[in-house]
Amino acid sequence: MLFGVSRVWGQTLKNDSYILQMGNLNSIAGKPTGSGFQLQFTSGQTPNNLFTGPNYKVRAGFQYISSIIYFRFSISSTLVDFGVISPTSPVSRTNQLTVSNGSAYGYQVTVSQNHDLRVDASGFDIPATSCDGGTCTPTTSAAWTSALTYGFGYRCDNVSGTDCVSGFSDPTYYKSFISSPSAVAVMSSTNVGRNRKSDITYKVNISGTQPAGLYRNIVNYIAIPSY
Amino acid sequence: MKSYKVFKVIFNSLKFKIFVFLLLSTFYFQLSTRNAFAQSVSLGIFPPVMEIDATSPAEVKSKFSLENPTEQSLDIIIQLKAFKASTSNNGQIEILDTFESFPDPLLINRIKIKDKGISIRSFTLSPKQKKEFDFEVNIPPNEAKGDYYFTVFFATNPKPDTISNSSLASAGVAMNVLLSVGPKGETKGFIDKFSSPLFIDSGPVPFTVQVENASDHFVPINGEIIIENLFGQKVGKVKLLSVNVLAGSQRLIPDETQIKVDSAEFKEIEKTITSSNYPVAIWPEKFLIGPYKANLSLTFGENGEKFSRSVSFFAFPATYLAVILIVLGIVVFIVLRVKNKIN
Repeated sequence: MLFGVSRVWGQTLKNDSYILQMGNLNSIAGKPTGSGFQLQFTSGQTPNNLFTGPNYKVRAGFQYISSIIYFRFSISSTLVDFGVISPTSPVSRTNQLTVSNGSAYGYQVTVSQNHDLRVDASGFDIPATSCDGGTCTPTTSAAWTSALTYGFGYRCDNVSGTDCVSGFSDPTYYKSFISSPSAVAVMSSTNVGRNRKSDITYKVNISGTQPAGLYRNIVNYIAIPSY
Repeated sequence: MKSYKVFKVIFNSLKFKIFVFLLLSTFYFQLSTRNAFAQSVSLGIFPPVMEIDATSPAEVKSKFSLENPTEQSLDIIIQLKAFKASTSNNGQIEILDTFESFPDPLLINRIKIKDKGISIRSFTLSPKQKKEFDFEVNIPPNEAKGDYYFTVFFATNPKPDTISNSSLASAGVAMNVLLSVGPKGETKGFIDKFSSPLFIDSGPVPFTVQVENASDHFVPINGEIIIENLFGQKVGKVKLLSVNVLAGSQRLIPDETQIKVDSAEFKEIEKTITSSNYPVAIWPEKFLIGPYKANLSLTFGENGEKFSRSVSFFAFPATYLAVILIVLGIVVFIVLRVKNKIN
């Protein structure tokens, strides 16, 4: 067996335009510094990849992040089930958004809906709420406590971190959803963070004249890192 | 014979027939009921940003990866959107409805996401899958020079097949791309703001650092703040976070400690970070006394054009002094009372 072992050659794959860099073991990485110098190296995986070719150079990832950290976004439940909605009996449901932006200094989560809650067959809508005073919009919150105020809206409550956008410090305040392609921020931070959590509460209330039917829509959340 | 007759009576009775019907109905409904899952969804992307310097013609090629940490497969759709710097100057973006801001709006058609060499607009991520994709931009000869800022969305595509009044939530993550098609113009810019509180009781000291990039291309900016005391001695250094400033925009710059969220240094300045409404660079020193001078030096871009500015502030530990005076007062009061009693 000793004599039968064949040699393995480590070759550099390159031509005039390219050098093929393969991933390798993340055995050595760090930032050696001294009084007159600062050297940054990574032996192993190259998370802040530098891709080069004729007439171009790509830096992938932030230089200040010296390891592979995924920018992650989670929603605790994709189905927000309102069940049977009775007139003047508001229904509230909650799901949770979680962001881990260890690989970016800052982020925002935008929200939009494809359309109002709608019966696809008939086209009947439950309109966006304008809150008790008729003043809330996708960007401005207002109180919504009256059972005689109808519509569909949401609010954001911080669970860990303080990333809900402004306007929700009062627990009775809501905003309406904006329809795509527009979107507004619902969470944002200018810091790095892990597992920043916010609860989104959806509220729907209908009048006695609301036509019966199966009302549905899609709410889109996009987590966008800073640049 | 007698038992056979009893069974026959039972089988023929109406009650028994109803019982059998109900039993079978129960089994039928139990088997045919659809499960309604309240599923969670999660997506990860790396890298969150790509910076591309190119001159035409070029076939830009790079890679990125997505992960699905959940237990179910995810149908993903891809979308491209142009963006500009948010007016909050904190590095966040403002999505644009069109690509009219591009020097060549048709460039968007030459951006491809590929899976094993095939251009895709949607795909499926299996449970627990991490998948690498190719990112390519074809920049033809004589492409309009300038900066192209766009974000690539990867969003789940929920199927609205629920049987109740409901909203379905779709989750997406994005990767920002800063593409600069050269030849680039001259790197121009300036320090727009450099300030600190004029008077402080104690540290940490927040510095507002805002720069403006007057170039026609995005510029990476590096810098530091050196703090000197009354005697000109260097007593502190704040390394600024290396950030990109988009063409014609401003950006507030924090310090490097703020990305090390698990470090002891970060814990020391966390309160100051959260109390500020915008990114600030923080000198963590707590006990301060006398006048200080902070010297900001910044390097714009790879050519290394340097800018500097200074600001002075005065620190006086009034709270500490008040506590000391109160304690001294109490001691003096007690001593005098004791002396009076002795006399």
